[in-house]
Amino acid sequence: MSVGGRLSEFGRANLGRILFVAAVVLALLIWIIHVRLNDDGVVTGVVLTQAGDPVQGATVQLREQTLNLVKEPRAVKTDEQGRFEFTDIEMIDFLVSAKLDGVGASARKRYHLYFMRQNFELPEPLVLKKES
Amino acid sequence: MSKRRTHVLTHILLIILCFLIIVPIYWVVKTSLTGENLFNYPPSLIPKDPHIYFFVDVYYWIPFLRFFMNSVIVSAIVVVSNIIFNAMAGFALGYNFPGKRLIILTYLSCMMVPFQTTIIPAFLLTKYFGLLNTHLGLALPLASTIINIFVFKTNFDAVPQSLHDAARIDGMADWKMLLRIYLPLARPAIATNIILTFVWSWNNFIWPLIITQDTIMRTLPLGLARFLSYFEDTSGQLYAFVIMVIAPIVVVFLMNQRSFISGMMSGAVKG
Amino acid sequence: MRRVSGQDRSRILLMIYLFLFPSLAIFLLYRITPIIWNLLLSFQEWKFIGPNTWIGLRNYAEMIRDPVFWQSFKNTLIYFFGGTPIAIALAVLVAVMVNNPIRGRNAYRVMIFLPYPITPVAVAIIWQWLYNEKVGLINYVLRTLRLVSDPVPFLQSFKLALPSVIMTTVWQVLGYFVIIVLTGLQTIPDDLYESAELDGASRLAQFFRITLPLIRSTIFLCFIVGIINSFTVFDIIYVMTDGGPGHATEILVTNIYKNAFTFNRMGYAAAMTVFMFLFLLLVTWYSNRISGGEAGGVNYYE
Repeated sequence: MSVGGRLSEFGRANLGRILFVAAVVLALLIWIIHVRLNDDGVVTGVVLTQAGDPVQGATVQLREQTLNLVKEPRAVKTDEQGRFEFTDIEMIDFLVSAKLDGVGASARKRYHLYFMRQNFELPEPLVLKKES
Repeated sequence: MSKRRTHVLTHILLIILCFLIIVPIYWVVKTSLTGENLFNYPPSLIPKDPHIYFFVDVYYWIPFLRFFMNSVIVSAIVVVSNIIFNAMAGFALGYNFPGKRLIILTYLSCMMVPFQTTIIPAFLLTKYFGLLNTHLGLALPLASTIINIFVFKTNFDAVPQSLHDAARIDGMADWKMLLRIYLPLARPAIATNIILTFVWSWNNFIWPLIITQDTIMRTLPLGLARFLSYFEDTSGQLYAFVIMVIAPIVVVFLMNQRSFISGMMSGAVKG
Repeated sequence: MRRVSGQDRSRILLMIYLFLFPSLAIFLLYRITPIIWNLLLSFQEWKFIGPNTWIGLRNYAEMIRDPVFWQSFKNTLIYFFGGTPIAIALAVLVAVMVNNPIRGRNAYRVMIFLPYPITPVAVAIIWQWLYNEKVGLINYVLRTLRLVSDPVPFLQSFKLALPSVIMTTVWQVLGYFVIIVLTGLQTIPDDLYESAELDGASRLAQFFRITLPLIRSTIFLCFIVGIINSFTVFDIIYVMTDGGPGHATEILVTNIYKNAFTFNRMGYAAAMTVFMFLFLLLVTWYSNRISGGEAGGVNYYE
């Protein structure tokens, strides 16, 4: 049998497996491309008051959630629209909280990423509540 | 009892049995996806809020990719060398030659020596070869298995002599015949070889335990066992790791059930 | 046998020996040499770092007086005599059921066989958790069914640890035995059953009079596999209990491993290895003889 004939016989007998492997490889490639395109390590979000108004100048803290080491938290301030942005975040599990003296503090929210340096936007705003 | 009644009863019993067999696996899969039942009692039976974060953690907490590659490389060396060495030996055993009885006796007696009785000398040997902590050192003791030699031999012996003679008349050298004629006809034997040696090499724990000294050279099962001691006790990540370790072999098994089952049959004595 | 004409003989011979060389080398190095090496080591005292001293039979004398050694040997035997008959009996039942021409028997076969290729380390971790005293599934079921009132510490109790580990092995190895028995069952011709049916034999009688006797050699094959298995089940025990509590689940292999690589007593461990090897040899040879030749055999000498 020629090489071509043998190849096509192999293909017909193992079609299911070849498709499966191809699908897995394709999924892996898509995932890797997705990761490469979105790994700038940027974490963004917005801080609002309980009424829903953006808070300017609030301090937002981001700290890694790890088993042992307590690392130094990172901190940025929000702009006029209450938005904040962290860059170069190399954590996959972290805690975010915001506060502004005189206005209040937000609850500490925990987030977990799918890959290192994933560009992440907080799904909910950090709401400052009056400290009681 | 009528045929129908026995069939129904058989089905019921088999379903119960399969349920009991699958439950542990289902339990681990569920926990790796939800992290429940680790510390709470009573356990919940249906997964709530599944997520893949445990898998992400495992990937970053330990050099998972490195462990995976180690397992892959060692298994690849083992499988390839097994096919080459065993086919050659099985082919050679098809001839009559001086010393054949002695050699077959040697092979058979090696079957009587289980791997676990050789660990101390094998360790010392590997050390003196300077192969401690290397992929080659991990693969070498597994590089050939007797049962697979005989699998090839029986397969080759079934090839009709006429094919051999015809090739001879065409002027083909005997060793070329192995490559051109016998191997292509030995598809099931090759499949059996691959399956048996892949499973044995992938699942091998005691040898990597003895041989590896650096974390970076660990294979997957070893990494899994060590994970338990590093990260203390149970955690969702541990079970995610379990899934990540057994997934490849389960997938390979499900894709090739027939060859798998018939292959492991021939390997009745784990070499 | 392949015939070889006179002129090519020396060339073919060269090829033959060349072809045999790699596998023979591997076995010489890693199977045959170890036997001798173990023997020699067993007569020495060697702490791995430092000189080795020849001490004759002192290791064996110590071994005979060592309670841990006897415990590990006893445990290995319990492992075998406890686990294998259960697994084989179950396997025969299951195989007979799966052998019926029912729909979906391939699916059943696959599911029953599934635990076997799973990495033993993973199996150990899974079952370790199932047996967990506080949150394990098994305790939950037992307590829900009100079979026990307090949680049962399976792997921490001196009495229950070994049976628990044996159950885990049975879970994993059952599928393997089922396949072996199934193959044996399929060699029984159907007309035997048909004529028995015509003679009015009940299915139970058919099972005991026809099936069982005819799969005797298959069952012996399972026994041999079981013996070798129970002497070499290192992974599961090491991960599940590491021989504990105390030495309740210590088997020969784990004892050897600890002596060699934890306590660095190479000579002593080698002595135990020699013992284990000889015992295994005896058992395999003996069971081979009982079953009347190659159990499951292929004629190797052709």
